[in-house]
Amino acid sequence: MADGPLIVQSDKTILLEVDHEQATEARHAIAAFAELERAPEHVHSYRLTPLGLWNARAAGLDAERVLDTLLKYSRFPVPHALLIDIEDTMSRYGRLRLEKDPQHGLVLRTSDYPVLEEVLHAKKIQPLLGPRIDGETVVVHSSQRGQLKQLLLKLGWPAEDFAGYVDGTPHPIALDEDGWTLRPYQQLAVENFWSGGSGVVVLPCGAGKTLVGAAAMATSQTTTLILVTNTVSARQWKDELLKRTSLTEDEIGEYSGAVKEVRPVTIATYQVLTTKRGGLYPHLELLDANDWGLIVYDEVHLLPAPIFKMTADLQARRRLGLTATLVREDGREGEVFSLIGPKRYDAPWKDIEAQGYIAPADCVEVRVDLPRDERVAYAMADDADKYRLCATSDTKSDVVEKLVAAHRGEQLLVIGQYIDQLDDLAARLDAPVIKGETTVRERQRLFDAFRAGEIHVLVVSKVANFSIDLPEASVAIQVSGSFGSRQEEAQRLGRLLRPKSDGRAARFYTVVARDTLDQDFAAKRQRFLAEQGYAYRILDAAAIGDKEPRDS
Amino acid sequence: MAEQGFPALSEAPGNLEGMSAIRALAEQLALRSDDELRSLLAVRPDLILPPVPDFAALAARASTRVSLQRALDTVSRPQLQVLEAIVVLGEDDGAAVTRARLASAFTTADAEALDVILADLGRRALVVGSAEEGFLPVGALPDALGPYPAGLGRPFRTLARSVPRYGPALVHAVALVDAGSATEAMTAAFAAQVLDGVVTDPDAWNCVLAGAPADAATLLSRLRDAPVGSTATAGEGGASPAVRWLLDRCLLAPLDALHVELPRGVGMALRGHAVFASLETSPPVGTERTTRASLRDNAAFGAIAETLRLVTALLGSVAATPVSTLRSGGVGVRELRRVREALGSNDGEAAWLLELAAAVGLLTLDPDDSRWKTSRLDAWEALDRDAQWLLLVEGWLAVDRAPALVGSRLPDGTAINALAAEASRPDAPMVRQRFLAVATDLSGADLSGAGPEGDGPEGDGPEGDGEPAAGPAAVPVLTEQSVIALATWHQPRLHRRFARLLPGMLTEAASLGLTGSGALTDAGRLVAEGRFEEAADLIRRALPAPVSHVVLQADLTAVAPGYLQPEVARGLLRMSTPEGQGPATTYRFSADSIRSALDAGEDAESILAFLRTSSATEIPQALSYLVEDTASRYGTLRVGRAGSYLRTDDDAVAAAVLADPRAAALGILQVAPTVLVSPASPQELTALLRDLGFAPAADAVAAVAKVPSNAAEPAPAARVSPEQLRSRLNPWSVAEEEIAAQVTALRSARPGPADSASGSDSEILLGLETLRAAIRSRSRIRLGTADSEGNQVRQVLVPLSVSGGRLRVFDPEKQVEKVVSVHRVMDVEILEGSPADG
Repeated sequence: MADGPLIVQSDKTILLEVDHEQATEARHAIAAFAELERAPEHVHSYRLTPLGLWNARAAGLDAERVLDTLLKYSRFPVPHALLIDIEDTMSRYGRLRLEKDPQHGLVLRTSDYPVLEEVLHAKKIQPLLGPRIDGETVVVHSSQRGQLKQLLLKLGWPAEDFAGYVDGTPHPIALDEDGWTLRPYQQLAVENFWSGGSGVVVLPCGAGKTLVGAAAMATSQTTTLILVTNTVSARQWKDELLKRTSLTEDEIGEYSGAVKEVRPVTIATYQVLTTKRGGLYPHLELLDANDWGLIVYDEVHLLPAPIFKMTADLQARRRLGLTATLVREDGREGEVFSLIGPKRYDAPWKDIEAQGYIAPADCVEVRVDLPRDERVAYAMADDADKYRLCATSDTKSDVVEKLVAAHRGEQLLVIGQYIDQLDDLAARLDAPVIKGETTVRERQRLFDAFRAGEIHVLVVSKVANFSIDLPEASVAIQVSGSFGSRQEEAQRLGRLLRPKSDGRAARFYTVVARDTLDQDFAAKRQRFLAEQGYAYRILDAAAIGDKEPRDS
Repeated sequence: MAEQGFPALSEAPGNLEGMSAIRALAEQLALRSDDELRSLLAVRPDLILPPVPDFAALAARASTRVSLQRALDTVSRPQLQVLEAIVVLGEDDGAAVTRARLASAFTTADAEALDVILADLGRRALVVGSAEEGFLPVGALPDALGPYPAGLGRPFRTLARSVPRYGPALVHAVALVDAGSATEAMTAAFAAQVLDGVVTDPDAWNCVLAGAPADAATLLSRLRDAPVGSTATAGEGGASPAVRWLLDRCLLAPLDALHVELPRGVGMALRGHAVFASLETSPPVGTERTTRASLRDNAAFGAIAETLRLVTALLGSVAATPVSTLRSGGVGVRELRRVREALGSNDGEAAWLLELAAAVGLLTLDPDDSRWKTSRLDAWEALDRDAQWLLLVEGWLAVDRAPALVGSRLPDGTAINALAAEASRPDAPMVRQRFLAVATDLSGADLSGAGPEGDGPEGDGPEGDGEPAAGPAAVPVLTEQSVIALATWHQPRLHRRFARLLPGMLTEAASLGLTGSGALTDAGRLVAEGRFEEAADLIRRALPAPVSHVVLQADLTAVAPGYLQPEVARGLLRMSTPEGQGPATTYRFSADSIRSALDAGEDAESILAFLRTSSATEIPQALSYLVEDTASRYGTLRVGRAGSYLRTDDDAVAAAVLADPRAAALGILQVAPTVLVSPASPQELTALLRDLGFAPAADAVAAVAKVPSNAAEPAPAARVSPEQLRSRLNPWSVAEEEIAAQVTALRSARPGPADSASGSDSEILLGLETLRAAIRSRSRIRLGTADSEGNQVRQVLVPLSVSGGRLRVFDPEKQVEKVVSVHRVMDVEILEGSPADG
């Protein structure tokens, strides 16, 4: 057998030995069909899933190439059952095709008669289909295009969508590349997306997903609807678009809880779209308010369930999904695949870091001992209160003070979950605090001041988790979080990863109370971050202090 | 050819017609050369188990039904065809079947092949006779072949005798079929003769068929190869006009309300007036499908590594928790699920691994608590992987069980459990041997890949081992159908067993790497040829060397990039939890796993030292922090065992007790300033303290459960010895020396053949032989029997059939049929004169 860098496991994971001389080559080869699951320092692990294999088929890769790649780079024999499974799974994609028939409109066509028969006999699918034209073709109600794709995927027969898109209202948009240019990987992502039609672009936090969106709009040259997670993020999109494209203030509308503008380019929040009143979604008409030529979904992995439903009705429009990870905590990756589209571009995070487009990060967990009385209180507390008790311990504030002192002069964020604790910290550090009740205008002002370097320390609650661009933040101190959520962790860390002007590594502290729930959550966090490939250290609080250097 | 290959037969003296086949056989055996005798005894070893005194006894034993059945199990399809043809033709008139007549039993037959087969059947002592005089089946061969030789029904006259109302019906039928022959006073026997005449005459037969209803022909063709059918499936109920028409003309015999039998004559007429269409001398060929040699080797070596890994995991799991059995035997579904989950495999695989491990003795059933246990994990792990593989392969070849039957349903609907008696198949080793032979035949001539010779050690390029210079890249695939077809050709009588057992064996062979991607591997071929050591050698070179180092990572895992040396793996298992299925194992460290290592007597320093020596990389800070942090807080609570304790509020009292030398006798220890413990019981301690002048008060003490100790002494893993394997393959096998000794004994006994046949064995058989002759010639006999009081009774009877120790006779006087036990028969005398039904 070859002495390759891969070990293919019978549980459908692939281990990649990073230090092997063929590692880079092998990583590029398998990235097309396997999802990177863990990327610790020496051995990365990828997972083979039906979705991943179908993504590869959508990208034009056939089973033979996949098998050859595995056999070529594998160090040990590849489990035979796995090879057969891959071949079988991949052969399922594209046996059904959605096409536009000049006479009958939208049709479902197959090259494999029994598959169509199987599908036609599925109870849930029958009502979506119209009359049968011949043995291989059946009419599809065009309004059911999305739902049909969703159900076919569930049946294990994902359909390839060749039915095309409406053009949308033309609207001139151009990139304004003044003093900056699209990075090569961003360029590639847009090209791949555009030639594939619809789909998802996966880029790590801080790698400039907004610009990929902007470039896609410039390629489309049509009116565009951008769906984002929250209002602050909407503002940032707006700012970025104003700065990077030919769009003007008048052309960009915001559709959120506060403002309801519909312009050629409209940025709406998921929240306002999914607001329900009297059993109805009052803001749904936004989707039909304009003949959109492109719909951009920011943070696809967070897309709320009702949005999927709405997206199912938007299959005739081009859709671009942007995300840092295809992994959804709710396991609805399949709906992203069938409704928004297959993965069109995925850049290995390490590559982008190596190219200097995102900053390296150093994660440090600081363990504090709870004083005796707090331990007793903790031991006797109700389960519901335990986490709050240990997460908001006063001893943490001392450690935070020490850490802030150690990093004096750097742009520093203190992130927490509990408002009382944040207020207290803000008072002790003499720093402004941003929390839910802070007005958008005030938040904007504080963020601007932080970016400008007028404020060095900012205390923020979870409102700052997503899509807030604070490029100069280089140190973050997390004092409490929402129960070890992996998502939250990635987002918070993402705030730090914008490249620093001096190429410094970002430092991400987490202060943890020893022997409590806090530590259990920290263990999950540690695993997640280490699996993402970030350096991770654990220190005792006692070791912090005057001697803790800025960069050890 | 016959003269050349079979001289003894052509020289046989006497007239076959006039002599019993057993005597003829005895004479003929006596004339054989020593080599011919040796070859006979080699194919039919049961003939001399136990040894026989002389040729008459040898001939007698060769003529018994049991021995013949055993011999029939080993004949090939064309050999069986010839035997069946001889029996079918011979039953017509009881006469020997001449070579010319035999050839006419086949529409097409290669004459030369026929002679070769006849010579071979003679050598096997299955037929006697010669080309000129004709051939007779030996002894009970017709019985051994069963009631439907060659898939043909019984002849008209037999049916007339044994099927109620068929005889009279025949008489009516003659009028319908051949009006010219019909007479007033016709007997059923004569009618049968007339009908026989009609169906053997092609013109007359076509004439009869011409008047048949439309679907009669399809109905008949459906019964052509299997003579008994149900009318429900043959037509729409018994009332279908075609069935009616055929029944009226006796072209079908009604067995009961639902079933009909196709008479032999009709069956042969449907086969073109022959017994068989052709003599199938050439074995069936395999499929056209091929696979790449590289894919085959990939699959096979992957399977081997996986099987070895799973067996190790299984033993580990069983060592921790023995597998309990059901009261009805076997491992129940729930227990199997537990094993499956421990291995991360599926039910079928878990059952197979249990069976395999039990087959090689790695698991043993503890008779005391009916649980499967292992004491051989260490011995197993001490073996090299190729030795492990060899152990499994040899165990598999020898085990008299069919693991693949586990999970299948018995006729009563219950599923067969793993390791249950129901999956026991004494013939499994023989079927496996046949499987390997067939697989070799189907896979072409020679080693295709990294054979022991040829391929050099430098062949480790990307696809080096899989693509040798000489071997073809495409290798033929073995399919279930092709394997079963060829095995059946070799041993047609075992078709059912092959069809039942071979599919499972294909799967099992694949998991042992004997086949890969459906094709026979080089290791499989070597195993088939019995070259076990060479096969193991090949495996050793193909399996990658064990790795001795793991890679430690900051996500608190250690990854073993390949098969890890057992001692390192054991060390890691003590302090971490394994994850993942496949060649590489990931070991995950957690506070719990480190704590269990501490429980096992490790400390932070020894854990870190072990990790340092067995890691190829630096220990990540997070991991060493975890180890040290866990160790530093280990032991906040401490547990120990004591027979009694002594607590006091005053440490001075404790010190006083401790200081007393008499207290030392009870082994009193101080575990805390005010707490002492002793292994003695509370009563003893109280008594002692009273003696010392203290006034102890007893606490209510909860009983401490006794912890059972389970010490297991390692025993070496046992390999199956070649003798054991041979005897399991064929319980009747004899060594060459035994055969030689027997041949010498026969020669020296030589008292002159036949008449003086000694031994009760052969006398009984001669009596039976007479009965059979009478049955064949339909002669009347005078039968002397002993009744239940011991009185002798002599009756004139017509014997119909003899089988299973019972003789069916027809009493012409009372016009009834009855059954006589053979052991009550004292003598038989054939009455001269015309046949009974003449």
